[in-house]
Amino acid sequence: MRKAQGSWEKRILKSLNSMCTELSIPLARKRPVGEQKELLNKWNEMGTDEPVLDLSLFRPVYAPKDFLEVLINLRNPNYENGDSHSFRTHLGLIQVPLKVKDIPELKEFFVELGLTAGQLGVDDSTQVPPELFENEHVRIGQKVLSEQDSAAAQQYIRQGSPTALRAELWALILNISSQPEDILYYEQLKTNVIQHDLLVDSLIYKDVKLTASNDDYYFVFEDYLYQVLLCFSRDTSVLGHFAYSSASPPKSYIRGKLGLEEYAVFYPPNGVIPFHGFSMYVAPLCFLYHEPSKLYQIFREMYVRFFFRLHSISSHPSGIVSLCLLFETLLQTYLPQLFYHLREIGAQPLRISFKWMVRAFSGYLATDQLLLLWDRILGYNSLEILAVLAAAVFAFRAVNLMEVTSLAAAEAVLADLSTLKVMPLLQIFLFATVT
Amino acid sequence: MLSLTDKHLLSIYSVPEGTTNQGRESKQPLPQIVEVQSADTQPAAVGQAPPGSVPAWGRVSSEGTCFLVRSPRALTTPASTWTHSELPSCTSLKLCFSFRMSVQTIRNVFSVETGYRLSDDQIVNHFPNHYELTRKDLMVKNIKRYRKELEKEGSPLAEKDESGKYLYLDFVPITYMLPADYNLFVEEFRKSPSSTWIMKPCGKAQGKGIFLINKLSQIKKWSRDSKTSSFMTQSTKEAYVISLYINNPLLIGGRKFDLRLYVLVSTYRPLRCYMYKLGFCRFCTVKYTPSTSELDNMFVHLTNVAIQKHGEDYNHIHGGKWAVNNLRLYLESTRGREVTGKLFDEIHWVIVQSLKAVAPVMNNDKHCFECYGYDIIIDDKLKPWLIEVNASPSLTSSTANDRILKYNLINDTLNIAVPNGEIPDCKWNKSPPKEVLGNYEILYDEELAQGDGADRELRSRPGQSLGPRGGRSRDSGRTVLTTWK
Repeated sequence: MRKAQGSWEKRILKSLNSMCTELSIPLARKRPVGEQKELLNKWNEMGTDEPVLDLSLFRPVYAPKDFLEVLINLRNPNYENGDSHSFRTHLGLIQVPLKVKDIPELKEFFVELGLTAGQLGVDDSTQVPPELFENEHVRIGQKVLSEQDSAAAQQYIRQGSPTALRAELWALILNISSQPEDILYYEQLKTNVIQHDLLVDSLIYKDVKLTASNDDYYFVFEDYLYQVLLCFSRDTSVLGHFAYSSASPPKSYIRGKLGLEEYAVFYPPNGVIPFHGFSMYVAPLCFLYHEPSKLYQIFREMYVRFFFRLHSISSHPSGIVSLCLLFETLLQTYLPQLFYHLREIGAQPLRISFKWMVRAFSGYLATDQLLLLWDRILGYNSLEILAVLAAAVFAFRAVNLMEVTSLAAAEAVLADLSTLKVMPLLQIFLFATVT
Repeated sequence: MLSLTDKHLLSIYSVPEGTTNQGRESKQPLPQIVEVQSADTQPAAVGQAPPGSVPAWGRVSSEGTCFLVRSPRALTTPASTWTHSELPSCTSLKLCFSFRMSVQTIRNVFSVETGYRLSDDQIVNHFPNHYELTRKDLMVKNIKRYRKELEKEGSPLAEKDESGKYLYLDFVPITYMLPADYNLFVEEFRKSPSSTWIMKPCGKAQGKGIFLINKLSQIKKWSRDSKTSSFMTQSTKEAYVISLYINNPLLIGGRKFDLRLYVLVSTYRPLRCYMYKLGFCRFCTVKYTPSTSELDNMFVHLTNVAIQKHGEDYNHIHGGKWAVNNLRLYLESTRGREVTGKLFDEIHWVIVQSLKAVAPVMNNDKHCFECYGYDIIIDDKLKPWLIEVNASPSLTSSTANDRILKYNLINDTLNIAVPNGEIPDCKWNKSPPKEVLGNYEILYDEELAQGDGADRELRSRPGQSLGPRGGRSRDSGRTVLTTWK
């Protein structure tokens, strides 16, 4: 796995470097004082002023579908599928035999989502009197917050968070507590942005302009996205997460000192090269936090705990490879007809659901539903729910999908997820489907 | 019940001559609502067409297709008698025969001169004197009158605080008519000379002719004593209203926005109105600043799409429109549930009070219903302000989502106004069954409120009902205020 990750990283860097040489733009440069002043002035409205460089020259370094191709080609050289009957019949795209949970195991893991427990996202709808579940749940949430009990919060949020308490609960679970030194740290990062211009900045601008700026839910927060992401790329504390990631940060050498370790720097400083859609990890958080340094801290923590696993190759159960395999296995085991049909018409289900999972469904679900989903990511400290939801969506639209005859038609059936209610879908798939 | 779904309209659009509508699929994309070329179309509907109107759905062209019509401008359709048989296959859809009118043509219908009388099966989409609510000066006049009346009656609604401001009825910024109230305005202006005021022409829309002032010299023209008045008579000076500019609007993402909410009124006495759940916020493309150097920059201050779409940063995908549900989620998440619920309750309150204010003077013709576009601004203290009410809210769309919204709006409006998609009878009780409301919810039903005050079907839950306002004192004797039905 690490080898695969290594070669994937090499490819990304090659792409980045060639873009750099093509456009003759340095990877990093110090800003002239005039430009620094200007940037400081328009710090709060970077969305309206065009950056100095022409953005059309830039391409995103990679898009999720490029990454999917890499994952599809992963093979374990030590593995002989000769005797393993079950895996040989795996119809999906992922060919790496990682251990994934099956439905009985998932039911146990996600026991709080069961039909006998109350859920926000199901039991707070208009038809249900709030006395039955919602009022009590809100009261417990307030108690958890007043006790500042992080573990209790994590347990509590498995049943969903009331809208008004969510911002504080997430902060509690992620151990974010906006101390003066945190605010200072953010200001320091801001100064770094002002003083130095990085090539990845243009990638960030481009990504925001291509995704969040055009999104009906998130366009309002465009300026916050720049403020968070530009600072993020300069934050060397993010390098810490590479200790438990299979990825390694790209290294760059001071001019003329190639190969000399003492002159190596990480590029970008946080070691994370943004890809197409990266800004969508931040966008939903803007509904919860309007203070930039807090928004920044929450995003950074979400990234180093969860999101990094969605775009690096590893064997971790919450890593994207496992999620893909989990999705395919669930679909093949519990909706074999559908899976077979889609495969026959050249519409491998993973090709459609991959982009949902890589973005943790951001930009595909309505925001209130997305936040309910991310509540459970935090509550269970796992991204497996993304794969389960993806399978549940296919199950929900199975009837229509059985009738399509091409990949394009299948994409069309699944193009609009904005009307879906995630909790009922998950409950039906996990707990109410006859298997 | 006729529910004009996509499928139905698509079938209307591609009806070839002589075919029936049964089980035929249309592959045409839903076209934009178009203007009818009156010359080459054959009107076809039952009953006598009121002058200057066109049937909402039943216009058939010689090619055998129907078109939806926008409000016609001075269409000179002869008032011919239309017979049922002239309608080809469309009759199987049981089209409803309401007539769509513009504000110009409605004047013709109800004017004394034409002597026109709407028959029982004809209904129209404007009230005869809607301008009592929709003209900026008359709206303010009616609200001021309403407040004074309540004060005289000793109603607790008209309660004032220590500084003389109404506690519950202060929802319109201080406004004066020009040139009539010029001197009163000057007095007020001098009390806080650093304030900004906004000048709006009474009869225009889409942000036309609006400008901001912070100096008396900028409105010299409207002074009654001004020397220039000797060159023009009072009547040729265009009527303007001048209001205190709300220079502390609630900002999101640093930008100013206003709310566009759709309210359907089926009758004024008893008042029965519905609020469309899918309102939206209109954002400016430029960051807000109260700085005086930017008073002329309309992209900072005016949220009208007609203005913003000419801005450099206008985005055609979302058009600067943000669903009200997003606003609600954002405010609940960042400010808490109580204050958000209170804000939305206040918005509903403001709308109902504005309708009650004009109800006594409205010609409550039983042939009429009207869908208003309410413009509301929220300030940074989360207080809503009523800016104006539009009688002809734009039904064209600037984005794809917008088109779906407006389409559903018209569909739901007609389902409430014309029950069952049958030929209407204006004598019906105007109480549609709950199922046809679509995306509307009952905002206020005077009959229900006066009748059964304890009956609460809608939950008292923010965002899903229009529950009672919290925390305000109310006279328990006036049941009309204690419920929101």
